[in-house]
Amino acid sequence: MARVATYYAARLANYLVVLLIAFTIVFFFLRLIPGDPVENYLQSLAQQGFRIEGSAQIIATYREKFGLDQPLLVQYAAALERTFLHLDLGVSLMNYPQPVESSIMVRLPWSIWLLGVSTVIAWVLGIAAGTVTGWLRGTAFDSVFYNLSISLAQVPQYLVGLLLVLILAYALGLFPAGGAYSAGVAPGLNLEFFGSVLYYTTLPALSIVIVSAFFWLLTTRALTVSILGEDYILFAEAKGLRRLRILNRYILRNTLLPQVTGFAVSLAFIVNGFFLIEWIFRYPGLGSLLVAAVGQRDFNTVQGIILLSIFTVLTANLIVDLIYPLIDPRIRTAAERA
Amino acid sequence: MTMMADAPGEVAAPVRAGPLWRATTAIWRASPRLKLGLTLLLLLLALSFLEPIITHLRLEGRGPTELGTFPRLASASLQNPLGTDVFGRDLLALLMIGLRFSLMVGLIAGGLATAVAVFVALLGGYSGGRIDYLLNTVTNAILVTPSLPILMAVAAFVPIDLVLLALVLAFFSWPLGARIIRAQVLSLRERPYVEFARVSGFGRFGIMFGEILPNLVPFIIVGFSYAVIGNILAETGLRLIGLGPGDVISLGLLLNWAMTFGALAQGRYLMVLGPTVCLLLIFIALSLINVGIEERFNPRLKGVTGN
Amino acid sequence: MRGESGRKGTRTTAGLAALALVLGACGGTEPSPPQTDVPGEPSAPVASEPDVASGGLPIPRSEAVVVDTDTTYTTFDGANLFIPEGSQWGSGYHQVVNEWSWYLNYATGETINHRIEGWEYADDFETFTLNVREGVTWNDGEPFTADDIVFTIQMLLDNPDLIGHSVADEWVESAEAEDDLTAVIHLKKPNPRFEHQFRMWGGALGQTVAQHVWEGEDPMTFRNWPPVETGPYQLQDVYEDFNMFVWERREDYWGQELGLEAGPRYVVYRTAPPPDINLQEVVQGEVDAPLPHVFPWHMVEAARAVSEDVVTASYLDPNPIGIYGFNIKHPLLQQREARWAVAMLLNRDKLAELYPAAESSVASPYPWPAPDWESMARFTPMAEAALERIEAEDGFSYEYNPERAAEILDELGYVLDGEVRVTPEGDPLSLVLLTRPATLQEEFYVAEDLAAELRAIGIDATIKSVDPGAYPDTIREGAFDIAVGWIEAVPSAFASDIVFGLDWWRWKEAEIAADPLKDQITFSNAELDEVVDQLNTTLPDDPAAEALYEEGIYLLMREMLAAPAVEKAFVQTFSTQHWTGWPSDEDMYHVPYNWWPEFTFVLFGIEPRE
Repeated sequence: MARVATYYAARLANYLVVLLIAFTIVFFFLRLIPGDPVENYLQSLAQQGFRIEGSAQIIATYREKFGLDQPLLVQYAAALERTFLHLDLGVSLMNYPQPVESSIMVRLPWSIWLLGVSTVIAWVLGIAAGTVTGWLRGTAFDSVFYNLSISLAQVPQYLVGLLLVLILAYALGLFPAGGAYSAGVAPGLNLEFFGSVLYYTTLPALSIVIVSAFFWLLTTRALTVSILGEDYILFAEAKGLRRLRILNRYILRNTLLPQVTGFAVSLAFIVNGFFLIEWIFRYPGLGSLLVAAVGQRDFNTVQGIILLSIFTVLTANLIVDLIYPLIDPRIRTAAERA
Repeated sequence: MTMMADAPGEVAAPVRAGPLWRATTAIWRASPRLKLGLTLLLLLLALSFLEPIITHLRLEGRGPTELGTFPRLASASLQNPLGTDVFGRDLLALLMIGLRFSLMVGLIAGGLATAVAVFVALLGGYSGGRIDYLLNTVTNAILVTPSLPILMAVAAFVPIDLVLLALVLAFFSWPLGARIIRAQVLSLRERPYVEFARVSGFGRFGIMFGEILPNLVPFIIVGFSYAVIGNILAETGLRLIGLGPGDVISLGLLLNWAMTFGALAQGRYLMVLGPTVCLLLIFIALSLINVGIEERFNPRLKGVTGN
Repeated sequence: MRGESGRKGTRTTAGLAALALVLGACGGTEPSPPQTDVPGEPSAPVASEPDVASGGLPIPRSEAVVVDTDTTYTTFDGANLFIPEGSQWGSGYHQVVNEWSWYLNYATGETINHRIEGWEYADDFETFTLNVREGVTWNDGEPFTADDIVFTIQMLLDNPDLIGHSVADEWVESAEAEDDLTAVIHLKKPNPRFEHQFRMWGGALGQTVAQHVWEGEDPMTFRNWPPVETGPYQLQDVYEDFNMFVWERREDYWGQELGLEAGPRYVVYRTAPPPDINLQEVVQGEVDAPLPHVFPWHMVEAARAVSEDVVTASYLDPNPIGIYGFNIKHPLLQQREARWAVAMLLNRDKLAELYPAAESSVASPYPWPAPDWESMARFTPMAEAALERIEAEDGFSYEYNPERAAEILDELGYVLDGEVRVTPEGDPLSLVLLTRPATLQEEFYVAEDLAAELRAIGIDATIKSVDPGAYPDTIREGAFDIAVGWIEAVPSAFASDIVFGLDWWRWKEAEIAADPLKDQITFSNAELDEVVDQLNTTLPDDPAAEALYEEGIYLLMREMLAAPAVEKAFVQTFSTQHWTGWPSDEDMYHVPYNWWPEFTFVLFGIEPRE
């Protein structure tokens, strides 16, 4: 058991190290950006006709307030301490003096909703379809789906989103082209609101689901097909086990486990394109907040959102890695033996 | 990602360690899907590189980016099969230029990324121990960092030229390939012939590049293809929002123009469909290449794909 | 449930409308069924059926004017104009809530004394007296008095980090309220144009705040939310999920005494949706005033092809496009003859043709917008006279003439060596054109064309695109030769007084260092300095000023510091499905721009469509 504990400890340590390195990468990339948010804001004001004079003084004051006048490494150390020791994402530069957290918290539910619904539906659909097509390998059914997945699994989700908007929203007018719910419906715990939300979620979710589900189909099918080629399946069939039983006992169990890991790993890629989907559909989630923050050079907010997504992905992976030995006896024994 | 990413499973009987050429041609003959994908990709490349000639013939010597060569916002016609844009430029010519740029940025950054990936994966996978731990951790760290937001933030405020763009794209796209290749290196290094080479006194790098590398070729191709997918995805996404070098035309920028000009509501569907179809073809081609290689070289799938 | 099938019906209709646009046939536009709203309820039921595009409104459509902006909203709870990010531009706050003390109607040339009745100067121009209008009230009922004006000025003087402090500090010695309606400001130096501080967009000094609200608060962090202002509208609610601000009419608005009655009960400012949806919405009357920047001429034409209820009013933007400035430290460009030569390479007819907006025209050669700007009319003859004088004296005229340009360069010693033009030292001549990134400005094509023209006479021209944030630094460092972009005509135009523009060109290096936002090219000319200094102590209406203005304009124009090429007009589109009485080309009773703070005057002029 001590060995398992070591495995857990090592995994945890690795998690923290990766988190730190990722944080560093993000921080330094963002600091590559020249100019600062205050100057940017004042300039946009000036361009719109306001007369801003004596701006040097104002800019200097705010740089100091935001700590932007410190040498880079000092800023880095301060950010490290603030983020990891105090779990504080900092102050939003564009909504000063509100903290980044509050801006994110307002938008977070929408993103969780859209992301959660799409990824889970895609996963379930994809695995089901993958198992079925793998089982039916060689048939026309399999052929169609297999080729479809090959075409669509690697297409960017936002591309699919654009096509869906073009066809279903503009040309056919079947779905709204953006937003999270109808402005005429008051948010609340009522059926009308939920109905509106579902209606408006359809297209963005569909963009993600289409690509993701086909991806899961591909990988599950590969797994299924490979398992079907194993000897013990042959043995089970020879023994006379009913097909459904084979499916359940051998195939599902052996495909689901790696796909759970795969789910956690794929989160990183889904999250990446997810921001664009939110932008295309004007969804009031973190994606739009990100675009706004980028436009205003609000480093803290941009960093906060990126860190949140990194944290989510890493934690999901960590959880899966920690639970895995409990589910899969083979790994546990291997860990014990290691 | 597929099984190949994480499972250091068995590799089919390794191609005889010899010139990479033999390895490469063997791969070409390996799978019909791979052939289809490669052909499609090469066709697109050829088309985009023939663009100067084609455009010269079609536009009778006028530059494709010259303003006002045709009436503005004209609909599709024989002269302008896709119509013209707001400055009176032929969209088909612009599309081919955009295709070339998107492909080039994807391929060049992809090449850079793969070179790094191969080096990192070989070094880490073969050396093991602390070096491997370090490299693997860095790989994972970059892998979980979403590239698009950072790209957006950087592109919005740093005058992004092609070199910087390629570098940043490569920075974020090498880890995936590295992971795939490393998994294979881990299994390959236990092979008898590697042991034999080690005993015979070959140095680390000699073994890495002489014995292991040739057998990595299929996985390198997969890694490269994923890198290209990632790069084109990122670059197009960036352009879609309107960021990036504005005087360089890429497919994403064409989409951005279409959206900004309200192409859809005015019935100019071709303005949107043109770049979209090109992008779809690129991604399908790359996907085919990936699947084709995996069909042949992933032993669990070999012979049982049934297609 | 209300309209479940009705909703579907609208979807189909919207889809058909989209198809109809495609086919160019007269599309069906569905009128909004009227709905009653419950008095006193903060959110009234929707009047318009939510359609594909807008998803409806939280208030009755027939009582609202819907206005678009292209700003992404980031601040949803601030109305503090003195700190960065303190308020949200484009939210409607600056347009229909916040007011200024007086306005200039640029379209008619009329001076509108709004919150004040007038002003006076002492003879030495060092004392400025504002006469406040009686009866002006804040939207919480309290009266607007001279105390508020004095309080604001004092606040700016006392807080060095507020926007506007530097102006207050530079000019104001002290301020006091003689009585409720009289504010006396003692200036440190003479200024016969101090009233412009209180004019629309004149400066932070004129953004008077309510003393009874701001007293005791820290102005560096105070939000002033919901905003307490003197304008005709107040906050109804903020709808963050929809990027929407909804403002509600004040029934106690003091301006009604002056005949200023706001037509719509609600005003909705929101971020414009993507162009495709925007077009549908305009056609269907879901939005009343789209934003020209994202709803340009070809979309206007597309809308007009389908619906008769789309009208336009186009007005020239104050900033012409062209050569924004030259690097005066460049050995060639420091000679004004060379600058005239480059100016002669601007093919203005072609550029105006190509400008992606139908209503653009060749720029007048004077650095301010001409025909539409009635308020600038008195300066036009002076500029014409200046041009004639320059032609007579130097032989330069403001026209497209590449041969003459090449000649001038030859005369300056920059001759052709084969295909390449070389400096007197024999090095090939190359010039760098500076622009903002191509995707951000439509003026990029001017730079492309100018570069082509330069190359045609043997000069190696390259274009350098720089992010707007880095623009000021680039200019300051002189890392460019010719800057192409918007010509800074705003100071003159908004004050409708040339001296502001003349002053703008005289900035010295030290001044620019104190104001890093000014992407300013330093230029100095002793004669011009003298003229401007004199003007700065002469009232604009003084007969003596006339000659000074003429001389100043002549001195500036002969230097050719900026070459306007294209005047761009913003085509402000209006939908007449719900409201009529908008300004039009025939009856431009006010500047029609929906993002200018004077938009309230447009709202005073419209009424519901019968």
